[in-house]
Amino acid sequence: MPVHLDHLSYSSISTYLLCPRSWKYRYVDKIKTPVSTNLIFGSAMHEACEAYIREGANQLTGQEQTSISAVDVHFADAWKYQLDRNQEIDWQGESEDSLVKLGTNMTTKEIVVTGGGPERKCRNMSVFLNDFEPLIVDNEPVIEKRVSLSIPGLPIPLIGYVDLITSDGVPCDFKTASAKSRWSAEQARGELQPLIYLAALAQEGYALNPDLRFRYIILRKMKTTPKAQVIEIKQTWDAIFERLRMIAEDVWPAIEAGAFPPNESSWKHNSRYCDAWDICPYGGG
Amino acid sequence: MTEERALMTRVPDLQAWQLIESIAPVALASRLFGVASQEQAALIMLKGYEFGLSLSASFEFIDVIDGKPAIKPKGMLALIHNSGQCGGLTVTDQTDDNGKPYACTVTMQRINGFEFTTRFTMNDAQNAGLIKSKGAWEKYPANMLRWRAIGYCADIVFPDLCGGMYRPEELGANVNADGEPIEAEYIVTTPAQPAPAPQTAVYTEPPIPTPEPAMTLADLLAQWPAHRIIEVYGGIPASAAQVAEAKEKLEQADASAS
Repeated sequence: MPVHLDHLSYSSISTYLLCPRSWKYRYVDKIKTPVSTNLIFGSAMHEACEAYIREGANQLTGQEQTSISAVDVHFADAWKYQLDRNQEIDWQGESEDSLVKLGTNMTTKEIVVTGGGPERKCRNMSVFLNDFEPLIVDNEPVIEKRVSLSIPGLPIPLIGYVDLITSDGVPCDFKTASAKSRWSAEQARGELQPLIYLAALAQEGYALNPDLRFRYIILRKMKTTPKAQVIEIKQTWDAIFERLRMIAEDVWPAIEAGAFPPNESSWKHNSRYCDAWDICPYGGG
Repeated sequence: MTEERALMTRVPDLQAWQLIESIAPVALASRLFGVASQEQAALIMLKGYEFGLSLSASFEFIDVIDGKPAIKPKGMLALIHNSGQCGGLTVTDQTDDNGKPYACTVTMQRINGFEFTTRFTMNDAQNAGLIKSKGAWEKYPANMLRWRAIGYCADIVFPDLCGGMYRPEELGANVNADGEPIEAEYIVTTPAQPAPAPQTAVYTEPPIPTPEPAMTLADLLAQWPAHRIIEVYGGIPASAAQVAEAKEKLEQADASAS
């Protein structure tokens, strides 16, 4: 094998499927590229939402937390943390101020929610997130749950982190999407992430989600009226097994054989989305 | 062959290298030789070629462990036998009072008279943490003792023949994975005096059993739909052993349903 890996993740496999060459740059050559503003903004928003839900749950379970900060306060902290991480950031024409304003707008203004019932409005992001009461196990909310999946034929585990499992037993994932993008249930069903997480939970013996439901909580980066989408999908065992088979029979042997061709027809094949564009001879390198 | 034995017997010329380069992708694609990449296949053939092995025999005698070429004890013996440098070789298996293999003593001699003896015992194996439940050391102790003793002795007497290559176990590999779990019969006679003629050895091996390929999810899915697997097995198999277990349960369920 050209590279020593101790695990794979769904995003690693997604990267390989999108462009094996880009996978090689990241996981074999370990080339460091500047992080995009999309990534740091999304991470900060994600951390803010989880921190808010965690505080609420801690109050319910009688843990130390006595007051709950609103999501915008958590966002400010999380944003500062992202900037302090000493990582090279590719600002792509955006400024720190404009992104802080965007985050504040998204977390403090009235938010329009679609999906999971008729369109509705919530006073702000905090009120919207109150809908997602976490499952409590051993007096702890199930947030950022580490899961591990073993697949016969794959010598290393697939590791992942489930953002949240709600009290109805459904695993959820937070996504930050661009203002223009609007997810569909069909798009969500085609994602690899739910299949892997549902499989990992099942393998761990998790039995609270027999219908194989998975929920995306999508926060759109609106500079005017904030919008959120809740998409819940149901998966099937057939779809799950088929993907696991594909990973063990197609993806892994190709990685082991050092097959890293470029995929010039992928949506990622452009300077905006490909981290390795500048160094790749099939891109701008 | 003289005693001025070089570490390397053959230097690959352009033609040999081109041959190696053209075989490497085939060796990888065939999956017959257990190599992980074309580069690994080429490296193994190159090493084997340098030591005078045929390109295909190289895969039988050389492994790549953690990126380093390692020669199996059987490969060491092949090189020693082939070198004309061996003045004598004795292999003595020892058993305890209950007839169980306890130790193996190996003496090797060069034609220049240099001789060395090594002994490897089950206690040594125990102290080295080699003996695992249901492992090769439990199942084939005589063979495992023999290969260890041969390897250590060859390290001392014929280091030039092996070009400084490690043995798989020196690099932390389990020799069980070497494909040597075979109880061979040895009748070895040692020449009374060092002599240029090779020792007489009758060495009979039973055929190497071909392991059944591990069962995969695809094998299971070829016979049953996923929901049926979940219904009967109760979860997602995590290993080849669990796939086999699931298969057995599914076959039983089918049989009782019919």
